[in-house]
Amino acid sequence: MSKEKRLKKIAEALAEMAAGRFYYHIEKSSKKDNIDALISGINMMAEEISEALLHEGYVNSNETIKHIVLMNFEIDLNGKVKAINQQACDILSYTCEEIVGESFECFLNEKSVPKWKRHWNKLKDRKMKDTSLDLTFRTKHGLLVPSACYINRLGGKAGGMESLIVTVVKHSKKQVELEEYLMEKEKNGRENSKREKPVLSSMVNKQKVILTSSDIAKIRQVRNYFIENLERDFPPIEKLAREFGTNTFKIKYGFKELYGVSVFHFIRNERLRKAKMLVEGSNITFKRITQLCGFKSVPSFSTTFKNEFGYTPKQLRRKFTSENS
Amino acid sequence: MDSIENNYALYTLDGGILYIRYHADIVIKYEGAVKIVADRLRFQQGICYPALCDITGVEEVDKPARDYLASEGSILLKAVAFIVGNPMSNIISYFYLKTTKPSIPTKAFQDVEEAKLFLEKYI
Repeated sequence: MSKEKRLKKIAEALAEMAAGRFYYHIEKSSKKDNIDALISGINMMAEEISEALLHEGYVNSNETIKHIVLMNFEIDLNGKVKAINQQACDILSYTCEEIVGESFECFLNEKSVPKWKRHWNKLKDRKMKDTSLDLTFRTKHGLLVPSACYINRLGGKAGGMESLIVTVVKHSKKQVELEEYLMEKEKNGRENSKREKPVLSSMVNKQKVILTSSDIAKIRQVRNYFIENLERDFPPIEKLAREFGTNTFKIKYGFKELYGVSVFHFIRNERLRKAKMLVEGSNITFKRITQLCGFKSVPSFSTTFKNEFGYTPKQLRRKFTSENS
Repeated sequence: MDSIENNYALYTLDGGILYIRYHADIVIKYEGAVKIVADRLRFQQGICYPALCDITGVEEVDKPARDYLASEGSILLKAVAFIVGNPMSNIISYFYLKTTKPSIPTKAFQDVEEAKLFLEKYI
């Protein structure tokens, strides 16, 4: 591919990103030159921004993340697209007529085609029911859309396969809530305008306290301090807040907003995460792991570990060693 | 000189430094990242080392692998020196350093001797 064409693809992907669509990727050549490096950087940046948008800047695990369907394909017994939703056409930059009747694999990139074929044969031969796999779609303009696909086999009367549904789902919460809110508003109509007030007021009540970028930077510093010093006994939050130039409320609230858990649970999770890595991947004694991860004693470490992972450290190490030897 | 090898890299211990040299044209996905860290930990046998990590062969690290390496990649390491040389390894190391803020001293070098000099402080 010529340099001009490669640069054109970069421009197209950047235009899509400017419009808020971060699920496109640019295909690299085999040259591994500066343009490929730039493409890698843009693709990685799109992944990072896409995830940041998912969490609206923060992770908030208090709310369940809902899903919206992004692309939906119905595929017939010959592997051809029978029907497709409009959003899929928009994302792939084709018209519905251009896609329907064509082989599904025409819309995948080279690496995904053999993967799809393998699964397709298994599904046809009834060796597999529903499954999921990572496939990469290619748009009309040559941009890539890496996607986790959920594949469901639709059965007929005799138990044979009638067609397949391929669904690509992206995570969402805000959009769904907004759609529900708008639908509700429409349903209630003008005459029920009084009933809208509680809906609106409850939305206002749920508004977040705004953390400034300097607050977020301080909360991240506190997080890094915890991660880098897991072996220590941490001072009370009041003292930490003073040391980092913030206050107790912001640390507590900020941890919930940024990391989805309380400070106590964050530290506990990080200690357990590190301990699990050391239990599985090393032959360090459990006494030493207890110290390295900041647990009070070996028995309390062992109990907490078992409550979290279902195995004592000894059991897990034995299991891991036998599985990997 | 001890060494082990998997599908991704060659791990060698020499003079108190752990050398990790990735093979050519490596694409790291989540499963690969887990294997890379697990094999390293087994090879280290619980001892903490500074590591010289030659990533010139790495072509791509996907998002789940980047996330895994950001949280687990530096466990039992005192410091990391990346060896970069081509545009791809440059952008990968640059991205890693910018987005993950490693908890141990981590720097990228073009020159192996300079990288060793940086790591010697941590032996």
